Amino acid sequence: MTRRRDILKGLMTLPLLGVASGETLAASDANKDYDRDYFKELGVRTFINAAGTYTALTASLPHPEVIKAINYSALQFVKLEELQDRVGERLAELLKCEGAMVTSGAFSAITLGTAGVITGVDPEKADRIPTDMTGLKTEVIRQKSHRVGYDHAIRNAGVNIIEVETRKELEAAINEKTAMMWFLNYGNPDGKIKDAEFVEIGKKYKIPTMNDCAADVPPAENLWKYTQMGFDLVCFSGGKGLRGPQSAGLLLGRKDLIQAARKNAPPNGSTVGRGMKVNKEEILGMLVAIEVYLNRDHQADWSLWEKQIKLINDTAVSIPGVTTENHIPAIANHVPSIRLKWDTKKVKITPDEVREALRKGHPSIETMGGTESVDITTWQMIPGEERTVAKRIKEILQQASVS
Amino acid sequence: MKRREIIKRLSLAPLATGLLAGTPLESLNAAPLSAKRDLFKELGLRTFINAAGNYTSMTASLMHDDVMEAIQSSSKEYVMLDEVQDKVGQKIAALCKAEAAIVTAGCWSALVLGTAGVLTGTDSKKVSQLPKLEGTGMKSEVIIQKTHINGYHHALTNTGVSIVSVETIEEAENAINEKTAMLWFLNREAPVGKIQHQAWLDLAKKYNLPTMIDMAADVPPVENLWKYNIMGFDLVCISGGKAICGPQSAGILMGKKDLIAAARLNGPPAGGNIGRGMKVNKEEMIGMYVALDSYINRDHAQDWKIWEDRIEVINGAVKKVQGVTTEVIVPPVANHTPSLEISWDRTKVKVTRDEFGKRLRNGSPSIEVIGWEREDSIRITVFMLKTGQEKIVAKRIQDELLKAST
Repeated sequence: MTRRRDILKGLMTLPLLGVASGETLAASDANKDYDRDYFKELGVRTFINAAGTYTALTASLPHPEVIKAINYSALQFVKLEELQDRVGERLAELLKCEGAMVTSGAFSAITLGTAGVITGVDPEKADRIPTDMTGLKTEVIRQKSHRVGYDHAIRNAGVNIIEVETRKELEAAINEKTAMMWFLNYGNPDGKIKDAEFVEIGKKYKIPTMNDCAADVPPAENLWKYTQMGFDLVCFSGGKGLRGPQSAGLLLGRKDLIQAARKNAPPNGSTVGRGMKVNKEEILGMLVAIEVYLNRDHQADWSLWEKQIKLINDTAVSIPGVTTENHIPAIANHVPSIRLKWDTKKVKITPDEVREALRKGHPSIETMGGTESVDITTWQMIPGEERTVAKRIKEILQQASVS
Repeated sequence: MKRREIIKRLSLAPLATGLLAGTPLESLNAAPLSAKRDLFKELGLRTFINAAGNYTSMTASLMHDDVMEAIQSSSKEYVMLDEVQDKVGQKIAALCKAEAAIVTAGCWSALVLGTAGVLTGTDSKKVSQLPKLEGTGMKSEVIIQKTHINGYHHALTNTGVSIVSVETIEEAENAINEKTAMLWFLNREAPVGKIQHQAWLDLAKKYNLPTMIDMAADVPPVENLWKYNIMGFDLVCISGGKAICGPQSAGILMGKKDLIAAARLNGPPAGGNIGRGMKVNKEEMIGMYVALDSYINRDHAQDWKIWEDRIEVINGAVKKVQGVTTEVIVPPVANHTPSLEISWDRTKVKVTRDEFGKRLRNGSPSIEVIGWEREDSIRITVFMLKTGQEKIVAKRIQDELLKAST
């Protein structure tokens, strides 16, 4: 009877307090034991991420606060559109732009934004792309030096890419079929037309501009820099430096264009974007990730990364023949990074072999680099792991050293 | 008088049998009430009791505790995304008696990736060319029965193909040509099509064409998870976040090994393809596998009994209201669970369907029902209710019917 009464009482309070029951799952205790270790069960190797925010490596670990938000939002039904509305408003406020939506990654943000530019809020048009482009604009202009695989995100909306190199070529390429001008943020140094000028040309011809900033935080200011510069749409990955859900991203920018993009996205069916699903957990998780990120002490983060890199640097150079390059990529993955190189006459092992040895060691460690170096970042490590990484690198290089 | 009587009976009624058993969505008992943040409230969002069903716009279903635990635990470590997809895919394939499987960003995404795989095979140049098929040498037509064209075919055209609509076997045979990529079947519309599953498969076999079946919302029955693989469809697509209660943004593509391998080249983590925007993270993959495994191992007969009991609780309460008639409806395919249609005589219950839906929505607690099918009528499902919510739903609907009666 007691049990039943307790349950009845629980039932009565459910409608009011039910949402609050998120906390058991939300107890984001890093040391918590789980009933089952799925990766072990499945035989999936886990590793220390000394590489960086690569999708293939699952990019980043969602911040514990994000997991809390995911657990919280799993317990109740809400309307997906209402959630996008409210979260979009809040994100726009936090990121100092007109409108925002959570997407299924930066690539999805590019496709949905492009689709919105083409269709506006007309569901009939959204229903036709990418196969029936009758009466719709079909060209997107981008600089030749900004050519990357991410192009495909634009083409998925049914348009063709027109390549240009100079301002003159760009202005000549603009015609009545021009839907949008696309800019790859990390390509800024390589292009003849820089970001601000690109925006200015877009405004001059009233062509919407989009900037792909997928991996371009830090610095945090980039989250508003480009919308404020005048780009009509800006795309970010949510699961990289921001440590939101790895399959989430952000589309920021003009309110009317965000509304149009949403017409091409779930829960709307018969659209180019319906397959790019984000659930309520990801949407709320993404908002919390942004809040947490904006509230971080970015200087403290930076100085931690510098110290971690220094530790790895000092350990590596203690081995005769090993040299290092400490560097910070200007845009995209703009964090302290290190390249390890060595004189193969003194250390008889190739970078490929070192990476493989790190991968196969215990614990397994993933690094980057090519035939010349082993490349490392520390920003996606769990603090403390840099010591393990330094130790393993030393062991492997020492073992290969000619005594 | 009548109203009080009914309410009295409700409050004394024994709890549905399922309450203490392992019923779906029972996260109710699990949790202390100590949330630091109530994010939905902060954002001014209405939460509701879902008496409608698995609708994407209503966030479809709630994940069970074991799925949430899986998501949480898998968020703590780095893994290679493809390795998770490999291993989870093997498990899912074994569970569903398919050669191979992958977790996708929903059923729609499974349709896109599967179709893309049929078009491109494992040729990376072709992968990079979608959705522009002209001049690529790729096949460009998918044949569908006219009655199966209902919006979801847009998932196929996202890859660049055109839809060729047919009604009879003869028409289908005439339509097949060297551009034909695939024969597509929408399971939900099987009852209204002239060509049934086996005849569709026989046709495909005769012309050596791949087949795909979309069965997005078509479990229960649980057997459907393997039925169409065994029957011989080359690709089978299903939603993960509906009755299976996996992540709402996840789905499954399963079928022939070579076609699954080809589909994977068209999705993440590979870039420069049609599907990179359809991201699934490791948490969703593991969550999907755990949800599917749990779902298959459920006591489905018991679930059904619980749903019937819940329907009876609600039916018992509402049919007493004068002018109200009810009917228990079990859709034959898709959302195949007991549902209750509640209809009223407008001369006695003076409220429109839309207004009635609004009152339930705006009441406390808020309740969503199916309020778009017939005039002076709503329909409810109970398979997405949390244990005990059937009593709240019964009382609220009864209250509103009575209120409109006076």
